[in-house]
Amino acid sequence: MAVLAIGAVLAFLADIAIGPSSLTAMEAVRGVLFPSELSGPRQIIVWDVRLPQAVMALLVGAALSLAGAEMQTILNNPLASPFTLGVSSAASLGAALAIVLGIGWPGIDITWLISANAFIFAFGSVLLLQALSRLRGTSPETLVLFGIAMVFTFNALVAVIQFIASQEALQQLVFWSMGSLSRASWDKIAILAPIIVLVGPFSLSASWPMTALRLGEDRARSFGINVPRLRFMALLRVAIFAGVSVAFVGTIGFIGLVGPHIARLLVGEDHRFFLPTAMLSGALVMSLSSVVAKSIVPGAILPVGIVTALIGVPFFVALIFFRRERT
Amino acid sequence: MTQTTQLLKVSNLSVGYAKRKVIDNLTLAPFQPGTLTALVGPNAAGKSTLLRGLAGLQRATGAIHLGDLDLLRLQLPEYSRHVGYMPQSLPQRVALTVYEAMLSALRTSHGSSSSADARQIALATLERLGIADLAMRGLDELSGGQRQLASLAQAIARRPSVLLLDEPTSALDLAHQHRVMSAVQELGRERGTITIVVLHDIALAARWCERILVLSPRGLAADAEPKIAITPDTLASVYGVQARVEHCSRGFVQVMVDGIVCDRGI
Repeated sequence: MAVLAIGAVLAFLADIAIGPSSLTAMEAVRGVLFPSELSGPRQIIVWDVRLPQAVMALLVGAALSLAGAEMQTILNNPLASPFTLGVSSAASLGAALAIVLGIGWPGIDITWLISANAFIFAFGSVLLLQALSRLRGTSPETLVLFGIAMVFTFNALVAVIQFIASQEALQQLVFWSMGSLSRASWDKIAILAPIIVLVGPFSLSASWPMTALRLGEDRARSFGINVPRLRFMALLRVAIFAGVSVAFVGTIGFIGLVGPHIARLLVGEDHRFFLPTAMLSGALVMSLSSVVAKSIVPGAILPVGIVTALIGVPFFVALIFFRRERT
Repeated sequence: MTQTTQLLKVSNLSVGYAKRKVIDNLTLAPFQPGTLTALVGPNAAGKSTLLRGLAGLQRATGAIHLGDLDLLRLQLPEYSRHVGYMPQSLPQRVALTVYEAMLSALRTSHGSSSSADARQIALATLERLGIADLAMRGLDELSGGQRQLASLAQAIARRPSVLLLDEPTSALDLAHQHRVMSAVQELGRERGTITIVVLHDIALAARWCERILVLSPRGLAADAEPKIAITPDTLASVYGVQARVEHCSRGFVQVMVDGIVCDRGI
Protein backbone atom coordinates (compact mmCIF):
# COMPACT_ATOMS: atom_id res chain seq x y z
CA MET A 1 0.00 0.00 0.00
CA ALA A 2 2.87 2.34 0.85
CA VAL A 3 4.41 1.62 -2.56
CA LEU A 4 1.10 2.43 -4.24
CA ALA A 5 0.83 5.66 -2.27
CA ILE A 6 4.37 6.72 -3.21
CA GLY A 7 3.65 5.75 -6.81
CA ALA A 8 0.51 7.85 -6.79
CA VAL A 9 2.39 10.88 -5.41
CA LEU A 10 5.13 10.52 -8.06
CA ALA A 11 2.56 10.12 -10.82
CA PHE A 12 0.75 13.17 -9.45
CA LEU A 13 3.94 15.26 -9.59
CA ALA A 14 4.72 14.03 -13.10
CA ASP A 15 1.17 14.88 -14.03
CA ILE A 16 1.73 18.48 -12.94
CA ALA A 17 5.15 18.73 -14.56
CA ILE A 18 4.26 17.25 -17.94
CA GLY A 19 2.25 19.05 -20.54
CA PRO A 20 2.56 21.09 -23.71
CA SER A 21 4.57 23.65 -21.78
CA SER A 22 7.04 21.59 -19.80
CA LEU A 23 8.07 22.29 -16.27
CA THR A 24 10.78 20.44 -14.38
CA ALA A 25 9.74 18.24 -11.48
CA MET A 26 11.33 20.71 -9.08
CA GLU A 27 9.43 23.59 -10.62
CA ALA A 28 6.25 21.60 -10.26
CA VAL A 29 6.86 20.89 -6.58
CA ARG A 30 7.85 24.48 -5.87
CA GLY A 31 4.96 25.78 -7.91
CA VAL A 32 2.57 23.82 -5.72
CA LEU A 33 4.24 24.63 -2.42
CA PHE A 34 5.25 28.24 -3.09
CA PRO A 35 3.04 29.61 -5.87
CA SER A 36 4.45 33.13 -5.55
CA GLU A 37 7.92 31.99 -6.68
CA LEU A 38 6.68 31.14 -10.16
CA SER A 39 6.33 33.63 -12.97
CA GLY A 40 2.81 34.76 -13.81
CA PRO A 41 2.07 32.47 -16.79
CA ARG A 42 3.65 29.47 -15.12
CA GLN A 43 1.65 30.11 -11.98
CA ILE A 44 -1.48 30.05 -14.08
CA ILE A 45 -0.37 26.86 -15.85
CA VAL A 46 0.31 25.11 -12.56
CA TRP A 47 -2.63 26.37 -10.54
CA ASP A 48 -5.39 26.75 -13.07
CA VAL A 49 -4.62 23.99 -15.56
CA ARG A 50 -2.26 21.31 -14.32
CA LEU A 51 -3.16 21.10 -10.66
CA PRO A 52 -6.94 20.82 -11.04
CA GLN A 53 -6.47 18.15 -13.69
CA ALA A 54 -3.93 16.24 -11.63
CA VAL A 55 -6.08 16.39 -8.49
CA MET A 56 -9.16 15.42 -10.47
CA ALA A 57 -7.28 12.42 -11.91
CA LEU A 58 -6.51 11.15 -8.41
CA LEU A 59 -10.03 11.77 -7.13
CA VAL A 60 -11.84 10.27 -10.11
CA GLY A 61 -9.50 7.27 -10.16
CA ALA A 62 -10.07 6.65 -6.46
CA ALA A 63 -13.85 7.12 -6.67
CA LEU A 64 -14.35 4.90 -9.73
CA SER A 65 -12.12 2.20 -8.35
CA LEU A 66 -13.89 2.21 -4.99
CA ALA A 67 -17.24 2.03 -6.78
CA GLY A 68 -15.98 -0.91 -8.84
CA ALA A 69 -14.64 -2.70 -5.78
CA GLU A 70 -17.94 -2.41 -3.94
CA MET A 71 -19.87 -3.51 -7.00
CA GLN A 72 -17.69 -6.57 -7.51
CA THR A 73 -18.21 -7.63 -3.92
CA ILE A 74 -21.95 -7.13 -3.63
CA LEU A 75 -22.66 -8.64 -7.03
CA ASN A 76 -20.10 -11.41 -6.49
CA ASN A 77 -18.80 -10.83 -9.98
CA PRO A 78 -15.26 -9.88 -10.98
CA LEU A 79 -16.52 -8.23 -14.16
CA ALA A 80 -18.76 -5.75 -12.39
CA SER A 81 -17.81 -2.09 -12.66
CA PRO A 82 -19.63 1.19 -13.24
CA PHE A 83 -18.64 0.92 -16.89
CA THR A 84 -19.66 -2.68 -17.53
CA LEU A 85 -23.01 -2.36 -15.76
CA GLY A 86 -24.41 0.64 -17.51
CA VAL A 87 -23.59 3.57 -15.24
CA SER A 88 -21.27 5.19 -17.78
CA SER A 89 -23.67 4.47 -20.65
CA ALA A 90 -26.49 6.08 -18.70
CA ALA A 91 -24.32 9.12 -18.08
CA SER A 92 -23.56 9.30 -21.80
CA LEU A 93 -27.25 9.25 -22.55
CA GLY A 94 -27.84 12.07 -20.11
CA ALA A 95 -25.00 14.06 -21.63
CA ALA A 96 -26.24 13.35 -25.16
CA LEU A 97 -29.71 14.64 -24.30
CA ALA A 98 -28.17 17.82 -22.92
CA ILE A 99 -25.68 18.36 -25.75
CA VAL A 100 -27.82 17.48 -28.72
CA LEU A 101 -31.37 18.22 -27.67
CA GLY A 102 -30.70 20.70 -24.89
CA ILE A 103 -32.87 18.61 -22.61
CA GLY A 104 -32.04 19.18 -19.00
CA TRP A 105 -33.48 20.08 -15.68
CA PRO A 106 -34.96 23.51 -15.22
CA GLY A 107 -33.01 25.84 -12.97
CA ILE A 108 -29.62 24.29 -13.68
CA ASP A 109 -27.03 26.66 -15.06
CA ILE A 110 -26.02 25.96 -18.65
CA THR A 111 -22.37 25.35 -17.72
CA TRP A 112 -23.43 22.56 -15.43
CA LEU A 113 -26.18 21.20 -17.61
CA ILE A 114 -24.20 18.35 -19.18
CA SER A 115 -22.66 17.28 -15.88
CA ALA A 116 -25.96 17.51 -14.04
CA ASN A 117 -27.75 15.49 -16.69
CA ALA A 118 -25.00 12.88 -16.78
CA PHE A 119 -25.10 12.57 -13.01
CA ILE A 120 -28.86 12.25 -12.86
CA PHE A 121 -28.86 9.50 -15.47
CA ALA A 122 -25.92 7.66 -13.93
CA PHE A 123 -27.49 7.87 -10.50
CA GLY A 124 -30.82 6.81 -11.97
CA SER A 125 -29.30 3.74 -13.61
CA VAL A 126 -27.94 2.52 -10.30
CA LEU A 127 -31.30 3.21 -8.69
CA LEU A 128 -32.85 1.02 -11.39
CA LEU A 129 -30.42 -1.74 -10.46
CA GLN A 130 -31.40 -1.11 -6.84
CA ALA A 131 -35.09 -1.37 -7.55
CA LEU A 132 -34.49 -4.67 -9.25
CA SER A 133 -32.40 -5.95 -6.37
CA ARG A 134 -35.32 -5.28 -4.02
CA LEU A 135 -37.57 -7.64 -5.92
CA ARG A 136 -37.92 -11.00 -4.26
CA GLY A 137 -35.73 -13.72 -5.64
CA THR A 138 -33.35 -11.47 -7.56
CA SER A 139 -29.90 -13.01 -7.63
CA PRO A 140 -26.67 -11.10 -8.20
CA GLU A 141 -26.46 -12.83 -11.60
CA THR A 142 -29.79 -11.27 -12.61
CA LEU A 143 -28.51 -7.87 -11.60
CA VAL A 144 -25.37 -8.30 -13.69
CA LEU A 145 -27.43 -9.37 -16.69
CA PHE A 146 -29.75 -6.42 -16.18
CA GLY A 147 -26.74 -4.09 -15.97
CA ILE A 148 -25.40 -5.42 -19.26
CA ALA A 149 -28.84 -5.04 -20.82
CA MET A 150 -28.77 -1.40 -19.68
CA VAL A 151 -25.41 -0.87 -21.40
CA PHE A 152 -26.89 -1.99 -24.71
CA THR A 153 -30.12 -0.06 -24.27
CA PHE A 154 -28.43 3.22 -23.35
CA ASN A 155 -25.84 2.84 -26.08
CA ALA A 156 -28.60 2.29 -28.61
CA LEU A 157 -30.41 5.40 -27.43
CA VAL A 158 -27.19 7.40 -27.61
CA ALA A 159 -26.71 6.11 -31.17
CA VAL A 160 -30.20 7.31 -32.06
CA ILE A 161 -29.40 10.76 -30.69
CA GLN A 162 -26.07 10.78 -32.53
CA PHE A 163 -27.88 9.93 -35.73
CA ILE A 164 -30.07 13.00 -35.51
CA ALA A 165 -27.41 15.30 -34.07
CA SER A 166 -25.87 18.20 -35.95
CA GLN A 167 -22.22 17.94 -36.98
CA GLU A 168 -21.12 20.26 -34.20
CA ALA A 169 -23.18 18.60 -31.48
CA LEU A 170 -21.98 15.20 -32.63
CA GLN A 171 -18.37 16.25 -32.29
CA GLN A 172 -19.01 17.59 -28.82
CA LEU A 173 -20.79 14.41 -27.83
CA VAL A 174 -18.08 12.11 -29.13
CA PHE A 175 -15.47 14.15 -27.31
CA TRP A 176 -17.51 14.05 -24.13
CA SER A 177 -17.92 10.30 -24.22
CA MET A 178 -14.17 9.80 -24.60
CA GLY A 179 -13.66 11.05 -21.08
CA SER A 180 -11.25 13.87 -20.53
CA LEU A 181 -9.65 15.60 -17.59
CA SER A 182 -9.58 18.89 -19.46
CA ARG A 183 -12.99 19.53 -17.97
CA ALA A 184 -11.51 19.53 -14.47
CA SER A 185 -11.88 22.67 -12.40
CA TRP A 186 -11.58 23.65 -8.77
CA ASP A 187 -15.39 23.97 -8.65
CA LYS A 188 -15.80 20.34 -9.59
CA ILE A 189 -13.07 19.26 -7.21
CA ALA A 190 -14.91 21.16 -4.50
CA ILE A 191 -17.85 18.82 -5.10
CA LEU A 192 -16.05 15.51 -5.67
CA ALA A 193 -13.51 15.77 -2.84
CA PRO A 194 -16.06 16.34 -0.04
CA ILE A 195 -18.18 13.51 -1.45
CA ILE A 196 -15.25 11.10 -1.21
CA VAL A 197 -14.38 12.37 2.26
CA LEU A 198 -17.98 12.12 3.49
CA VAL A 199 -19.19 8.94 1.79
CA GLY A 200 -15.89 7.01 1.76
CA PRO A 201 -15.96 6.33 5.52
CA PHE A 202 -19.33 4.60 5.10
CA SER A 203 -17.70 2.24 2.62
CA LEU A 204 -14.88 1.54 5.03
CA SER A 205 -17.23 1.06 7.96
CA ALA A 206 -18.94 -1.73 6.01
CA SER A 207 -15.62 -3.55 5.66
CA TRP A 208 -16.41 -6.51 7.89
CA PRO A 209 -19.81 -7.40 6.48
CA MET A 210 -18.47 -6.92 2.94
CA THR A 211 -15.59 -9.27 3.71
CA ALA A 212 -18.01 -11.80 5.17
CA LEU A 213 -20.18 -11.53 2.07
CA ARG A 214 -17.25 -12.87 0.05
CA LEU A 215 -17.73 -16.14 1.95
CA GLY A 216 -21.16 -16.56 0.39
CA GLU A 217 -24.55 -14.99 0.92
CA ASP A 218 -25.95 -17.76 3.14
CA ARG A 219 -22.91 -17.74 5.34
CA ALA A 220 -22.94 -13.96 5.64
CA ARG A 221 -26.60 -14.08 6.61
CA SER A 222 -25.88 -16.77 9.17
CA PHE A 223 -23.45 -14.28 10.75
CA GLY A 224 -26.44 -11.99 11.21
CA ILE A 225 -25.72 -9.68 8.28
CA ASN A 226 -28.72 -8.09 6.59
CA VAL A 227 -27.46 -8.78 3.07
CA PRO A 228 -30.21 -6.97 1.11
CA ARG A 229 -29.62 -3.86 3.18
CA LEU A 230 -25.85 -4.15 2.75
CA ARG A 231 -26.33 -4.40 -1.03
CA PHE A 232 -28.73 -1.47 -1.05
CA MET A 233 -26.38 0.82 0.85
CA ALA A 234 -23.38 -0.20 -1.23
CA LEU A 235 -25.24 0.41 -4.50
CA LEU A 236 -26.24 3.83 -3.20
CA ARG A 237 -22.58 4.66 -2.59
CA VAL A 238 -21.68 3.32 -6.02
CA ALA A 239 -24.34 5.58 -7.55
CA ILE A 240 -22.84 8.61 -5.85
CA PHE A 241 -19.17 7.85 -6.58
CA ALA A 242 -19.65 6.74 -10.16
CA GLY A 243 -22.37 9.26 -10.97
CA VAL A 244 -20.34 12.28 -9.91
CA SER A 245 -17.09 11.03 -11.45
CA VAL A 246 -18.57 10.23 -14.82
CA ALA A 247 -20.57 13.44 -14.81
CA PHE A 248 -17.40 15.51 -14.42
CA VAL A 249 -14.92 13.75 -16.67
CA GLY A 250 -17.04 11.66 -19.01
CA THR A 251 -16.75 7.97 -19.73
CA ILE A 252 -13.64 6.45 -18.26
CA GLY A 253 -13.87 2.75 -18.68
CA PHE A 254 -11.13 0.74 -17.30
CA ILE A 255 -10.41 2.12 -13.86
CA GLY A 256 -13.45 0.78 -12.04
CA LEU A 257 -12.67 -2.71 -13.30
CA VAL A 258 -8.92 -2.92 -12.98
CA GLY A 259 -8.36 -0.82 -9.85
CA PRO A 260 -10.10 -3.41 -7.64
CA HIS A 261 -8.30 -6.27 -9.38
CA ILE A 262 -4.90 -4.72 -8.75
CA ALA A 263 -5.87 -4.25 -5.11
CA ARG A 264 -7.08 -7.85 -4.87
CA LEU A 265 -3.81 -9.15 -6.24
CA LEU A 266 -1.85 -7.03 -3.81
CA VAL A 267 -3.72 -7.34 -0.51
CA GLY A 268 -6.52 -9.86 -1.00
CA GLU A 269 -10.12 -9.20 -0.11
CA ASP A 270 -10.08 -8.26 3.55
CA HIS A 271 -12.05 -5.10 2.84
CA ARG A 272 -10.31 -3.12 5.56
CA PHE A 273 -7.29 -3.15 3.24
CA PHE A 274 -8.94 -4.01 -0.07
CA LEU A 275 -11.10 -0.88 -0.33
CA PRO A 276 -8.37 1.69 0.47
CA THR A 277 -5.91 -0.16 -1.77
CA ALA A 278 -8.45 -0.15 -4.58
CA MET A 279 -8.78 3.62 -4.17
CA LEU A 280 -5.02 4.07 -4.28
CA SER A 281 -4.51 1.82 -7.28
CA GLY A 282 -7.36 3.53 -9.13
CA ALA A 283 -5.81 6.93 -8.36
CA LEU A 284 -2.38 5.70 -9.48
CA VAL A 285 -3.55 4.21 -12.79
CA MET A 286 -5.64 7.28 -13.55
CA SER A 287 -2.77 9.61 -12.77
CA LEU A 288 -0.35 7.58 -14.90
CA SER A 289 -2.93 7.59 -17.69
CA SER A 290 -3.11 11.35 -17.50
CA VAL A 291 0.68 11.57 -17.79
CA VAL A 292 0.71 9.23 -20.77
CA ALA A 293 -2.20 11.08 -22.39
CA LYS A 294 -0.04 14.18 -22.41
CA SER A 295 3.12 12.44 -23.61
CA ILE A 296 2.03 10.25 -26.54
CA VAL A 297 1.51 13.02 -29.07
CA PRO A 298 3.89 15.93 -28.46
CA GLY A 299 2.07 19.17 -27.93
CA ALA A 300 -1.37 17.54 -27.75
CA ILE A 301 -3.36 16.01 -24.92
CA LEU A 302 -5.28 12.88 -25.74
CA PRO A 303 -8.57 12.34 -23.93
CA VAL A 304 -7.61 10.31 -20.89
CA GLY A 305 -10.46 7.86 -21.38
CA ILE A 306 -8.64 6.51 -24.42
CA VAL A 307 -5.45 5.96 -22.49
CA THR A 308 -6.71 4.29 -19.32
CA ALA A 309 -7.00 0.88 -20.93
CA LEU A 310 -3.68 1.26 -22.71
CA ILE A 311 -2.01 1.95 -19.37
CA GLY A 312 -4.12 -0.27 -17.18
CA VAL A 313 -3.77 -3.49 -19.15
CA PRO A 314 0.04 -3.75 -19.18
CA PHE A 315 0.15 -2.73 -15.53
CA PHE A 316 -2.37 -5.40 -14.69
CA VAL A 317 -0.72 -8.13 -16.76
CA ALA A 318 2.68 -7.29 -15.26
CA LEU A 319 1.21 -7.65 -11.81
CA ILE A 320 -0.30 -11.04 -12.61
CA PHE A 321 3.05 -12.33 -13.89
CA PHE A 322 4.88 -10.86 -10.94
CA ARG A 323 2.50 -12.60 -8.54
CA ARG A 324 2.83 -15.89 -10.39
CA GLU A 325 6.61 -15.81 -10.14
CA ARG A 326 6.46 -15.18 -6.43
CA THR A 327 4.10 -18.01 -5.59
CA MET B 1 -17.29 -20.68 30.06
CA THR B 2 -21.01 -20.38 29.49
CA GLN B 3 -22.83 -23.61 28.91
CA THR B 4 -26.10 -23.88 27.15
CA THR B 5 -28.69 -25.57 29.31
CA GLN B 6 -31.79 -24.86 27.27
CA LEU B 7 -33.72 -27.30 25.17
CA LEU B 8 -34.44 -26.71 21.50
CA LYS B 9 -38.07 -27.41 20.66
CA VAL B 10 -39.42 -27.52 17.14
CA SER B 11 -43.17 -27.57 16.75
CA ASN B 12 -45.50 -27.38 13.75
CA LEU B 13 -42.62 -26.15 11.63
CA SER B 14 -43.21 -25.56 7.94
CA VAL B 15 -40.35 -24.43 5.77
CA GLY B 16 -40.20 -23.72 2.07
CA TYR B 17 -40.84 -21.21 -0.62
CA ALA B 18 -43.78 -18.92 -1.25
CA LYS B 19 -45.63 -21.51 -3.32
CA ARG B 20 -44.23 -24.78 -2.10
CA LYS B 21 -43.68 -26.09 1.39
CA VAL B 22 -40.75 -28.49 1.56
CA ILE B 23 -41.14 -29.26 5.24
CA ASP B 24 -44.76 -29.43 6.32
CA ASN B 25 -45.91 -29.17 9.88
CA LEU B 26 -42.97 -30.93 11.50
CA THR B 27 -42.87 -31.42 15.25
CA LEU B 28 -39.81 -32.96 16.85
CA ALA B 29 -38.97 -34.22 20.32
CA PRO B 30 -36.87 -31.62 22.22
CA PHE B 31 -33.13 -31.51 21.50
CA GLN B 32 -30.98 -31.84 24.61
CA PRO B 33 -27.98 -29.58 25.27
CA GLY B 34 -24.64 -31.17 24.41
CA THR B 35 -26.12 -33.74 22.05
CA LEU B 36 -25.28 -34.53 18.47
CA THR B 37 -28.16 -35.33 16.12
CA ALA B 38 -27.79 -36.53 12.55
CA LEU B 39 -30.23 -35.56 9.84
CA VAL B 40 -30.14 -38.18 7.09
CA GLY B 41 -32.27 -38.97 4.09
CA PRO B 42 -32.18 -39.27 0.31
CA ASN B 43 -31.42 -36.41 -2.03
CA ALA B 44 -34.21 -33.84 -2.31
CA ALA B 45 -35.83 -34.98 0.95
CA GLY B 46 -35.54 -31.42 2.29
CA LYS B 47 -32.63 -31.85 4.69
CA SER B 48 -30.88 -28.67 3.66
CA THR B 49 -34.16 -26.76 3.56
CA LEU B 50 -35.01 -27.89 7.08
CA LEU B 51 -31.56 -26.85 8.25
CA ARG B 52 -31.87 -23.46 6.57
CA GLY B 53 -35.27 -23.05 8.16
CA LEU B 54 -33.81 -23.82 11.57
CA ALA B 55 -30.99 -21.36 10.82
CA GLY B 56 -33.47 -18.55 10.14
CA LEU B 57 -32.41 -18.27 6.51
CA GLN B 58 -35.54 -19.65 4.89
CA ARG B 59 -39.12 -18.57 5.34
CA ALA B 60 -40.59 -20.69 8.16
CA THR B 61 -43.78 -20.84 10.16
CA GLY B 62 -44.56 -22.65 13.39
CA ALA B 63 -42.32 -22.34 16.41
CA ILE B 64 -38.68 -22.93 17.21
CA HIS B 65 -38.06 -22.42 20.91
CA LEU B 66 -34.65 -22.25 22.53
CA GLY B 67 -35.59 -22.41 26.21
CA ASP B 68 -38.32 -19.79 26.50
CA LEU B 69 -37.15 -17.83 23.51
CA ASP B 70 -39.19 -18.10 20.31
CA LEU B 71 -36.44 -17.85 17.72
CA LEU B 72 -38.80 -17.24 14.81
CA ARG B 73 -39.81 -13.93 16.37
CA LEU B 74 -36.23 -12.66 16.31
CA GLN B 75 -34.56 -10.54 13.66
CA LEU B 76 -31.64 -12.16 11.85
CA PRO B 77 -28.81 -10.41 13.78
CA GLU B 78 -30.32 -11.54 17.09
CA TYR B 79 -31.16 -14.99 15.71
CA SER B 80 -27.59 -15.50 14.58
CA ARG B 81 -26.34 -14.98 18.13
CA HIS B 82 -28.03 -18.21 19.15
CA VAL B 83 -27.81 -20.31 16.04
CA GLY B 84 -24.69 -21.04 13.98
CA TYR B 85 -24.88 -22.48 10.49
CA MET B 86 -22.38 -24.02 8.12
CA PRO B 87 -23.72 -24.11 4.57
CA GLN B 88 -22.97 -26.96 2.23
CA SER B 89 -21.44 -24.78 -0.46
CA LEU B 90 -17.92 -23.55 0.05
CA PRO B 91 -16.77 -20.14 -1.14
CA GLN B 92 -15.08 -20.12 -4.54
CA ARG B 93 -12.47 -17.75 -5.95
CA VAL B 94 -12.08 -15.74 -2.77
CA ALA B 95 -8.88 -13.87 -2.03
CA LEU B 96 -9.06 -14.24 1.75
CA THR B 97 -6.86 -16.17 4.12
CA VAL B 98 -8.33 -18.71 6.53
CA TYR B 99 -7.57 -16.29 9.34
CA GLU B 100 -9.22 -13.29 7.65
CA ALA B 101 -12.33 -15.35 7.00
CA MET B 102 -12.40 -16.30 10.69
CA LEU B 103 -12.08 -12.67 11.75
CA SER B 104 -14.90 -11.60 9.46
CA ALA B 105 -17.12 -14.30 11.00
CA LEU B 106 -16.32 -13.07 14.49
CA ARG B 107 -16.39 -9.34 13.87
CA THR B 108 -19.73 -9.30 12.08
CA SER B 109 -21.63 -11.29 14.69
CA HIS B 110 -24.17 -9.44 16.73
CA GLY B 111 -22.41 -7.97 19.78
CA SER B 112 -19.19 -8.77 17.98
CA SER B 113 -16.05 -9.41 19.91
CA SER B 114 -13.28 -6.84 20.17
CA SER B 115 -10.45 -7.21 17.72
CA ALA B 116 -8.08 -8.70 20.34
CA ASP B 117 -10.72 -11.22 21.42
CA ALA B 118 -11.52 -12.11 17.84
CA ARG B 119 -7.88 -12.78 17.05
CA GLN B 120 -7.47 -14.99 20.07
CA ILE B 121 -10.70 -16.92 19.45
CA ALA B 122 -9.87 -17.33 15.76
CA LEU B 123 -6.47 -18.85 16.47
CA ALA B 124 -7.75 -21.04 19.31
CA THR B 125 -10.51 -22.44 17.09
CA LEU B 126 -8.12 -23.22 14.25
CA GLU B 127 -5.80 -24.87 16.76
CA ARG B 128 -8.70 -26.93 18.06
CA LEU B 129 -9.50 -28.25 14.60
CA GLY B 130 -5.83 -28.94 13.94
CA ILE B 131 -5.55 -26.42 11.11
CA ALA B 132 -3.63 -23.62 12.83
CA ASP B 133 -0.86 -24.08 10.26
CA LEU B 134 -3.33 -23.09 7.52
CA ALA B 135 -4.21 -19.76 9.14
CA MET B 136 -2.26 -17.61 6.71
CA ARG B 137 -3.04 -19.69 3.64
CA GLY B 138 -5.52 -18.37 1.10
CA LEU B 139 -8.89 -20.16 1.04
CA ASP B 140 -8.37 -20.73 -2.68
CA GLU B 141 -5.11 -22.57 -2.12
CA LEU B 142 -6.68 -25.18 0.15
CA SER B 143 -7.84 -28.65 -0.73
CA GLY B 144 -11.57 -29.36 -0.55
CA GLY B 145 -11.17 -31.01 2.83
CA GLN B 146 -9.13 -28.17 4.27
CA ARG B 147 -11.69 -25.66 3.06
CA GLN B 148 -14.43 -27.62 4.74
CA LEU B 149 -12.49 -27.51 8.01
CA ALA B 150 -11.98 -23.76 7.61
CA SER B 151 -15.68 -23.39 6.97
CA LEU B 152 -16.52 -25.41 10.08
CA ALA B 153 -14.12 -23.25 12.09
CA GLN B 154 -16.06 -20.11 11.08
CA ALA B 155 -19.29 -21.64 12.38
CA ILE B 156 -18.02 -22.96 15.71
CA ALA B 157 -15.86 -19.94 16.56
CA ARG B 158 -19.01 -17.91 17.18
CA ARG B 159 -20.05 -20.28 19.99
CA PRO B 160 -23.72 -20.58 19.16
CA SER B 161 -26.11 -22.50 21.43
CA VAL B 162 -27.41 -24.36 18.40
CA LEU B 163 -25.02 -25.46 15.69
CA LEU B 164 -26.32 -26.57 12.30
CA LEU B 165 -23.89 -28.25 9.91
CA ASP B 166 -24.81 -29.09 6.35
CA GLU B 167 -22.66 -32.03 5.22
CA PRO B 168 -19.48 -31.00 7.02
CA THR B 169 -17.69 -34.22 6.06
CA SER B 170 -18.67 -34.62 2.41
CA ALA B 171 -15.22 -33.75 1.05
CA LEU B 172 -13.17 -35.30 3.83
CA ASP B 173 -11.03 -38.42 3.92
CA LEU B 174 -11.40 -40.92 6.76
CA ALA B 175 -8.92 -39.22 9.09
CA HIS B 176 -10.42 -35.80 8.53
CA GLN B 177 -13.94 -37.17 8.98
CA HIS B 178 -12.92 -38.56 12.33
CA ARG B 179 -11.22 -35.35 13.32
CA VAL B 180 -14.23 -33.21 12.41
CA MET B 181 -16.83 -35.43 14.06
CA SER B 182 -14.83 -35.87 17.25
CA ALA B 183 -14.14 -32.14 17.47
CA VAL B 184 -17.81 -31.35 16.96
CA GLN B 185 -18.83 -33.92 19.58
CA GLU B 186 -16.25 -32.80 22.10
CA LEU B 187 -17.00 -29.09 21.70
CA GLY B 188 -20.71 -29.83 21.86
CA ARG B 189 -20.37 -31.67 25.16
CA GLU B 190 -18.04 -29.08 26.61
CA ARG B 191 -20.19 -26.09 25.68
CA GLY B 192 -23.59 -27.75 25.85
CA THR B 193 -24.16 -27.00 22.17
CA ILE B 194 -27.14 -28.61 20.47
CA THR B 195 -25.65 -29.83 17.19
CA ILE B 196 -27.66 -31.00 14.21
CA VAL B 197 -25.63 -32.30 11.31
CA VAL B 198 -26.73 -33.37 7.84
CA LEU B 199 -24.85 -36.49 6.79
CA HIS B 200 -25.09 -38.89 3.88
CA ASP B 201 -22.97 -41.57 5.47
CA ILE B 202 -25.32 -43.48 7.77
CA ALA B 203 -22.52 -45.43 9.42
CA LEU B 204 -20.78 -42.17 10.27
CA ALA B 205 -24.04 -40.77 11.62
CA ALA B 206 -24.63 -43.88 13.72
CA ARG B 207 -21.07 -43.85 15.02
CA TRP B 208 -21.12 -40.28 16.34
CA CYS B 209 -24.70 -39.19 16.93
CA GLU B 210 -26.99 -40.00 19.84
CA ARG B 211 -30.02 -39.43 17.70
CA ILE B 212 -30.88 -39.78 14.03
CA LEU B 213 -33.67 -38.05 12.17
CA VAL B 214 -34.50 -39.83 8.93
CA LEU B 215 -36.21 -37.47 6.52
CA SER B 216 -37.97 -38.65 3.40
CA PRO B 217 -39.73 -36.54 0.77
CA ARG B 218 -42.97 -37.58 2.46
CA GLY B 219 -41.93 -36.36 5.89
CA LEU B 220 -40.16 -37.66 8.94
CA ALA B 221 -39.63 -41.41 8.67
CA ALA B 222 -37.79 -42.02 11.94
CA ASP B 223 -36.51 -40.09 14.93
CA ALA B 224 -34.67 -42.21 17.46
CA GLU B 225 -31.29 -43.47 18.59
CA PRO B 226 -29.34 -45.05 15.70
CA LYS B 227 -30.12 -48.67 16.54
CA ILE B 228 -33.84 -47.99 16.46
CA ALA B 229 -33.97 -45.45 13.64
CA ILE B 230 -31.87 -47.38 11.15
CA THR B 231 -33.64 -50.58 10.13
CA PRO B 232 -33.88 -52.45 6.81
CA ASP B 233 -37.52 -51.41 6.59
CA THR B 234 -36.73 -47.72 7.04
CA LEU B 235 -33.93 -47.90 4.50
CA ALA B 236 -36.19 -49.67 2.03
CA SER B 237 -39.02 -47.21 2.37
CA VAL B 238 -36.92 -44.05 2.50
CA TYR B 239 -34.01 -44.79 0.18
CA GLY B 240 -35.58 -47.57 -1.88
CA VAL B 241 -32.68 -49.92 -1.18
CA GLN B 242 -32.50 -53.45 -0.01
CA ALA B 243 -30.01 -53.31 2.84
CA ARG B 244 -28.66 -55.26 5.77
CA VAL B 245 -28.21 -53.45 9.05
CA GLU B 246 -25.57 -55.11 11.20
CA HIS B 247 -23.65 -54.16 14.29
CA CYS B 248 -19.88 -54.09 14.51
CA SER B 249 -17.85 -55.52 17.38
CA ARG B 250 -18.21 -52.23 19.21
CA GLY B 251 -21.94 -52.17 18.75
CA PHE B 252 -22.17 -49.43 16.09
CA VAL B 253 -24.66 -49.73 13.25
CA GLN B 254 -23.24 -50.71 9.85
CA VAL B 255 -25.28 -50.59 6.66
CA MET B 256 -24.66 -52.82 3.66
CA VAL B 257 -26.70 -52.20 0.54
CA ASP B 258 -27.44 -55.32 -1.51
CA GLY B 259 -29.80 -53.97 -4.13
CA ILE B 260 -32.53 -51.58 -5.15
CA VAL B 261 -36.12 -52.11 -4.11
CA CYS B 262 -38.35 -51.42 -7.09
CA ASP B 263 -41.42 -50.56 -5.10
CA ARG B 264 -40.38 -47.58 -3.02
CA GLY B 265 -43.72 -46.50 -1.60
CA ILE B 266 -45.16 -47.41 1.77
